[in-house]
Amino acid sequence: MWQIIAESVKSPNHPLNQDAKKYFIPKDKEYVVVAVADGHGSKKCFRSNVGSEFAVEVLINNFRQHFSSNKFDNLQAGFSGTKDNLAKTIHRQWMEKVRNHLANNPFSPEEELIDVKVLNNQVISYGTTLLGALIAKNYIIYLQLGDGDILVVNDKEVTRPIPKDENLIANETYSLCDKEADSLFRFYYQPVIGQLPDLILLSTDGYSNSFPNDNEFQKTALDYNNLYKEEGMSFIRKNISGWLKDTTVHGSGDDLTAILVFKTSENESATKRETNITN
Amino acid sequence: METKRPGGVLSNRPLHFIWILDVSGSMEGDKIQSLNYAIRNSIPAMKSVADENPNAEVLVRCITFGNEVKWHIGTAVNVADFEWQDIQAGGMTPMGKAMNLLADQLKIPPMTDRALPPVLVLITDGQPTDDFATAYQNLMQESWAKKAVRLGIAMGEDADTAVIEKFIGNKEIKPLMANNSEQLVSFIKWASTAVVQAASSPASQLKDEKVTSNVPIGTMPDVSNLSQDVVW
Repeated sequence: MWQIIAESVKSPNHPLNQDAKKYFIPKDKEYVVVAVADGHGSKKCFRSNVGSEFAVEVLINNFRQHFSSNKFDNLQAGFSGTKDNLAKTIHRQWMEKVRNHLANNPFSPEEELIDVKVLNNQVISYGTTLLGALIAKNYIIYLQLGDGDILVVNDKEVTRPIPKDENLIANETYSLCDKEADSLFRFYYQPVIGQLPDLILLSTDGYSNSFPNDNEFQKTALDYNNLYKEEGMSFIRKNISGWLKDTTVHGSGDDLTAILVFKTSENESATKRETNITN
Repeated sequence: METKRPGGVLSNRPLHFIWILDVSGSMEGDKIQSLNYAIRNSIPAMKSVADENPNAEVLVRCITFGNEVKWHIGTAVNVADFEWQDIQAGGMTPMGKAMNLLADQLKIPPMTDRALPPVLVLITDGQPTDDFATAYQNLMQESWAKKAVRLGIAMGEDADTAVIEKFIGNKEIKPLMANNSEQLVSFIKWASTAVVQAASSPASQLKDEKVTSNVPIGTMPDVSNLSQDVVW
């Protein structure tokens, strides 16, 4: 039913890639879960590559558990309470992972000197955004904390299930390291009536910031969808790393991560077994 | 086989650098000559920094306030093509009107939401002769004014440093006190190189960090090894 490509490239300006990505397809292929996270990479957020990995892991696990216990069924009327609980749980579990990591990996003397504010609130050093989607047969749930983009292609139309947040400019973003982060999550619950989307694209902000405006960025989703139909999955898989590198070198200069979820018919699906991929 | 990259035309991110210059009568003579020299002198280094940051397009403009308040350089010029045109001094110090002119250009549009934090550099030797407080309040309603790196250089001891501090709006960044031409050159070079370098870094920052700017501009220039003569 779905085919997924996940790719990430490091900024030419960064010593390491602070983005993370992860997806999960169960054996029965009843649903898929995808997540990307953008570790902030600022001087204060020197462990954000770890924080972003924790973020995608926590999100995938939560979506899987909620799906398994049918917590997302028939939610259209009552998603509000569920999403609040989901946000709180994701935030709490991420914080727990960070604190455990800190307990096992205390700041080095060099890290202690980086910023007094971070020394007093060490969770800041793991700061990251988080985007995700759970795509089932009769509904899709989108989730976003902070910057980044989720684009959906239906036929030849591109839409954003979660609109851009106009408050997020100048590289500022909401973060899981914020004490109030659970209140900053945005969700969109979409019942699927008729056709599922042709393509769902999740990407960190390094992608959209590589284009002069949103129209030029949205062409990526349309082009990927056309390439999938005309050239096939292997063509995209073979070339996507080079495309993303080209994009960041001539665009934003940021780490750049994208997950593409293509709709396919059952017999086209290349996924033969349970898949759980990081990196 | 064609492997055209998906997506439209690519673009680096605009970084707007705006000089806001006092050209009132008190700037006449040595001060205005020094200011013209210092800005012209800073351009090669500014171009070098821009060359080293291909993911940022440094765009320069200039507001002057004196006899009139105007865009001395109104069209944002890529720093690679930037040439300084000398300014002349005369008139009062309508700094408030300069803030209004600036605010108009920091709206979205004409700014885009994907720009890098702008760098705004105010240089003055005196105090406003119009309503700066109201104009500043209006300026700070604009998101890009709030997110900008705002710097101020005081030329001489008569400059109103309280007003410059208000413009900067960040306790960690103090007005740069230039008492002679040599110090002014150093400050202007720093603003147009080190600060541009910092602002063009694409690292994300936590939203609403009140204590510091969202751009870590580093250490202020040390002028202790330069002439300490108080000329102005």
